[in-house]
Amino acid sequence: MRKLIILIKKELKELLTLQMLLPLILSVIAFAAIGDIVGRETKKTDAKQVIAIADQDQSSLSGNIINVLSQSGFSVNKITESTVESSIEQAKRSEAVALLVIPENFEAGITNHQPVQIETYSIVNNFSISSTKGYITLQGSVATINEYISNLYLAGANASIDPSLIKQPVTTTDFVVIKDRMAEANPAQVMNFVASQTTFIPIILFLVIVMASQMIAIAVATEKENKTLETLLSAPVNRRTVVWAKMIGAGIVALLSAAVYMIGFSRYINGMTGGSITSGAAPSQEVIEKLGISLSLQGYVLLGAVLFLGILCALAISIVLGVFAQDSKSVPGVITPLMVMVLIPYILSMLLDLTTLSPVLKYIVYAIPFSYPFLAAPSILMENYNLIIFGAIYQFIFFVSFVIFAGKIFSTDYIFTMKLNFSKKNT
Amino acid sequence: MTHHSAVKPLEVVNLTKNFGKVLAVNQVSFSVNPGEIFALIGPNGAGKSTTLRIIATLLTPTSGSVNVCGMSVTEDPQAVRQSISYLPEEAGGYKNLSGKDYLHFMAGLYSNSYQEANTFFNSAKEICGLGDRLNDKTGTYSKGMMRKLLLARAVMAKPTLAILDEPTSGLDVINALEIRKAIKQLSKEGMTVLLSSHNMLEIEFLSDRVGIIDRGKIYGIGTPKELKQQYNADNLEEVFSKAVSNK
Repeated sequence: MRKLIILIKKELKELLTLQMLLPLILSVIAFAAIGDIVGRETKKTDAKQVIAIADQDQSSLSGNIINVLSQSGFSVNKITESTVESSIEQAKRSEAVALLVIPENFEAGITNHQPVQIETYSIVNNFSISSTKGYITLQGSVATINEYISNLYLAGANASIDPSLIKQPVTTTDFVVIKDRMAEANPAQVMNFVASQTTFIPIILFLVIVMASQMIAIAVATEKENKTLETLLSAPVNRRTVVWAKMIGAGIVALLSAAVYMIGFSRYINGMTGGSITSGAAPSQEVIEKLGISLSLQGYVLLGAVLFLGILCALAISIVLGVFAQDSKSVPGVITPLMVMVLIPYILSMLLDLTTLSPVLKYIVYAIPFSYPFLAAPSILMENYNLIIFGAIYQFIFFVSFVIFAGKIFSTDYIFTMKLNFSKKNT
Repeated sequence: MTHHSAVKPLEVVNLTKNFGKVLAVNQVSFSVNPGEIFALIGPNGAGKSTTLRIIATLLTPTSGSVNVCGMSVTEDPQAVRQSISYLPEEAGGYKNLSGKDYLHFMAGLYSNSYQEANTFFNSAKEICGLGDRLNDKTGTYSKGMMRKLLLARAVMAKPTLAILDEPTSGLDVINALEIRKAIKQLSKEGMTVLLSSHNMLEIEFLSDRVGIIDRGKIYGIGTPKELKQQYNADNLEEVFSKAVSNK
């Protein structure tokens, strides 16, 4: 145990260098800063969406329209200029995103049931995403005007029926059924809530696996490259201890890096969305409980177990693959098979339901130990525990087999003689 | 480290090693006595390093036997590693560790307690003679400094058998001389040393006994004096030339 700790400390000292930490911290700061800046700027542009209106009709209907727009939350600026050109100039000065021109005889046209036209002028100051919001605001204001006038028509045609009833005579009461549980809820909200609970899991897993596998393979390759491996393996230390130390060291550093990345990434997402994506559209706590769409403690434990075992499998495979690397430059090449093994369930789980794949494809996916972390959250929510428990057992057997295999390789000549040469240079 | 006085520190019998079709070591036999400096001499690719790596438990023999202090390298490699210390040719250090950290790390691996580790570290610190430079990262060391650090590491635990592969390879005259003196001193203190070199003049100065090896085979074993008499030669280079051409 003492020697294992000594070896782990050495691995951490080797891995946690300034060259490794600096880019990590800088990219996290950059991510968080971009999120904050974009979030702040978006809020600023949201507050500034002014619609300018040039009322050339000066009728009671046009006056009502301006009032309705103001009451519907639009920031309306009434233009006092008479010509279109001068109105545009005034709208620009008031930093409006668009100008609506209500023409003369507008009310007369509506009263006579004639189609009428409103000219709209979108004022584009730049081509960023935030400026497209100006057009959305303009469309919203036109829709509000149409809604108001169509209600007037309907009220005039049949005064005894509420216009909203005519437009939408059928409404629904939505229920969601999951297995034998049922609750009155909006299905889209339920689906969004489940997605918000499980979206980060594949990203975290993918990040950790990529980092951990690279680190451990680099740790082995660097020992070969720097000619330290022979010294280490001739020392009075059990070879399995060397293997464990490398896996634990790389695992700790990968988890730390992933945690730092996730902090930066969540700041980025929060900054971009103002944290509103999930909170605004979430179903009530009562619905969540009734449908059982929130992970229970056991659910979290099971999910944590398959995630952890997935990372262990990646570490065990990488240490074996690292043996093939003759130097740190060849590491990306030798860990490609592992990346493919992670990418298959990662991409498939984003696009498809893994449990409904064709039998051959399904067994291929089940044979990959990294599939289970992607399958875990949805399966646990659907109470399909057997698949995940089987997965955890399979992952454990896979991990132990690879550790034994790695220990064997480290105890034989292969550790010094095995290498894949990707260049044509023969050494 | 345990010292087995009744058995020889090293006994190699009919050692053979193939790498695929390449016969790297062919029926090599020799033994090393306690406190002796034994050198394998031969050109590059003669089989010296392969022999040393098998003794250091890094490679497994194809056939034959190697016993260190009576323990077989194939049957009980873990026990053998308790009695040996190996300095590989062109060995390096961990570039992100300081010399001090490196010695502390290796002392930890060779010791059985923190007190023992400290003793080993202090001994290595004295042997390497790097002073304050031990606080610098090993990536900043010159080749000579690195070799001194690694030699100090190899002998700090006072192993029964120190295996030194080309200990002065690539070093300038002054650094090579210092390393040779250190090895000689350690031998006087009772350490058994097996080393390899293609520098035959160095070996003449350093070794008690010599094994001449070429193309994986041993061509002669004896003290430098005995070998020179046997082959009627002025120096070991001449001995080597005559021994290899005679067979």
